[in-house]
Amino acid sequence: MPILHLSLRSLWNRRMTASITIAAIAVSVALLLGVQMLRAAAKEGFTQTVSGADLLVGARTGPLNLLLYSIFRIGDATANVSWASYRKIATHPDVAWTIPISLGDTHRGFRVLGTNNDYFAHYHFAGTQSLTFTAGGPMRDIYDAVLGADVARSLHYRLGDNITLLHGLGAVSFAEHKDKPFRVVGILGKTGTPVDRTVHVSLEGISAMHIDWQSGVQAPPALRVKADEARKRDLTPDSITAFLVGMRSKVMTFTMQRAINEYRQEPLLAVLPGVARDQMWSLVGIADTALTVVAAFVVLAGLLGMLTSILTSLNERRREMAILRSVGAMPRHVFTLMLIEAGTLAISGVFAGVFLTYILLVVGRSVLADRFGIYVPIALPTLQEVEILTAIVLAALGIGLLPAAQAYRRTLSDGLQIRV
Amino acid sequence: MSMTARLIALALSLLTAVAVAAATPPKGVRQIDWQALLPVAERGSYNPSPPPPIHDYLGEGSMAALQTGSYTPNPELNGVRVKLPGFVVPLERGKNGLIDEFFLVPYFGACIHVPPPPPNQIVYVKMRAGAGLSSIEDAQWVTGILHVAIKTSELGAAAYTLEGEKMEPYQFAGH
Repeated sequence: MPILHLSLRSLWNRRMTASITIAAIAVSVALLLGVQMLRAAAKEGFTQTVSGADLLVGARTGPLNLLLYSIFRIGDATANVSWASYRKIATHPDVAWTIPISLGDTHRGFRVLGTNNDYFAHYHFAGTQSLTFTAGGPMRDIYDAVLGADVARSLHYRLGDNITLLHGLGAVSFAEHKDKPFRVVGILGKTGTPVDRTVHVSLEGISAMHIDWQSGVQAPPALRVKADEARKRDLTPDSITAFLVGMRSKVMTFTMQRAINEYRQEPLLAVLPGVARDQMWSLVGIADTALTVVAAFVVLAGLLGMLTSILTSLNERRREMAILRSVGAMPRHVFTLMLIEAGTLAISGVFAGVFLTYILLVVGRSVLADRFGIYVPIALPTLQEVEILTAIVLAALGIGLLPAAQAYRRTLSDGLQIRV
Repeated sequence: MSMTARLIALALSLLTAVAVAAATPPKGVRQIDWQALLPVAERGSYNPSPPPPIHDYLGEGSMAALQTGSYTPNPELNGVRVKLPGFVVPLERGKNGLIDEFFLVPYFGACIHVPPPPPNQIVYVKMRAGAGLSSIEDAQWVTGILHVAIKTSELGAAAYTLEGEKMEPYQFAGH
């Protein structure tokens, strides 16, 4: 105990250098922990986004591309699926349900998704969780909209509000669908998936919006179709972007997939969402591993910084050691003293790092969710993270052996005689 | 028989015994292959030519549906604890990215490169506890209780479902 006390007092005496060393370790620990948390959250988001659907069908492209634009709303579609093909598959006797997905418009940076009410019945995420409404309910009219949790929260929308959708994917555009406003009829509960950042409208609503659009621009004012006139028109869509399929029997998934991929009337692509997701993750995993390696090296740099500061201090502390020796400290006491010092620095650094990570998390999590769609939960460190932190402390003690051994050797003779 | 021959025979039989012991799964688990999932009557009817694509599944009116294989499972396997090697086609991943539900199929690429396996060559696995799977390209041993849906003509259920207890990487027999 006196050694611990002595060690802490000695460190306190050098509190300036000590706190900088602790800060260096803290920053590196925060980086490593932050990367760990981010990758766990990203992976969770990836794996939990869509579940329960047997097939994802879109125009012929790559499996990853299809998954990215239709489910994660990253990038855009190369082509659409014709309504006729969609209906043919949707009405097949082996198909239990389908969810149509029609993309291409936005509302203040949030993607608009045209679908029908099957979406709210059959879309599942995180295993078996289905979508819930915190207010209102599904769409009943052509011009009804259901908002994801984040859309409602960040734009402060309530039931009954009117919203104008934008043509295209930019957050700001002059190509507005101003003449056909939508009314908010439902707000969904938080899911932690891209659904939170989506404005859902009916497929007919999407058709109505674009009824008087030709060649990428709206018709001149005189030729425009008013919102109520559009109701009388045939609003069956020509095409949709993609759709999810639930099979009556899971064993028919492969047969249906093959039939869709070899469909002669239209080039289509059907993928098993789980397979595409795993393929995507193995791709993302490379960057993810690289990031972890970099973070690990930063921690190593932090620990080496600690080693440098302890080693340099040894020279200044020859007197201190000599005095300790003269009052009866054994070389092994000096050894322990040095080791306690390294341990104290590392443990304080780790705790400060964890603290820093949580502060950054609290501050940055809404930005992460809004900008990148990554939802990082504020939770206690996982077992794996605790293991990593313990490993850092052990590594610090290991590194601390070096100055401790040096001090041990020197204290046998050094410091008592005055050198010139 | 000479002494040497006898010794050799003894050594050989001992070696075989050891080899068999090494290959036999723990008690109560029947190690099976994909042939065992076929009903006895279908096992001999192997058609070496690749099955034609299944164009008429979506009613395009071109070729007749010519998917090989059948829905008929082997009823003897119902309720048996089996150990079966195969490739994993992931369906659901739960918390921590562990795999909960998947199709076990006899060859990889069942999903893309070659015609799909017939329903009685697909096992729908639900793991009791999520299992780790690093790569979908590696074969796995899956142990669990096999359930056979006897009434399969209506496509009401997957022909085979497996209550997965354990999943471990496949090792070559020589290792």
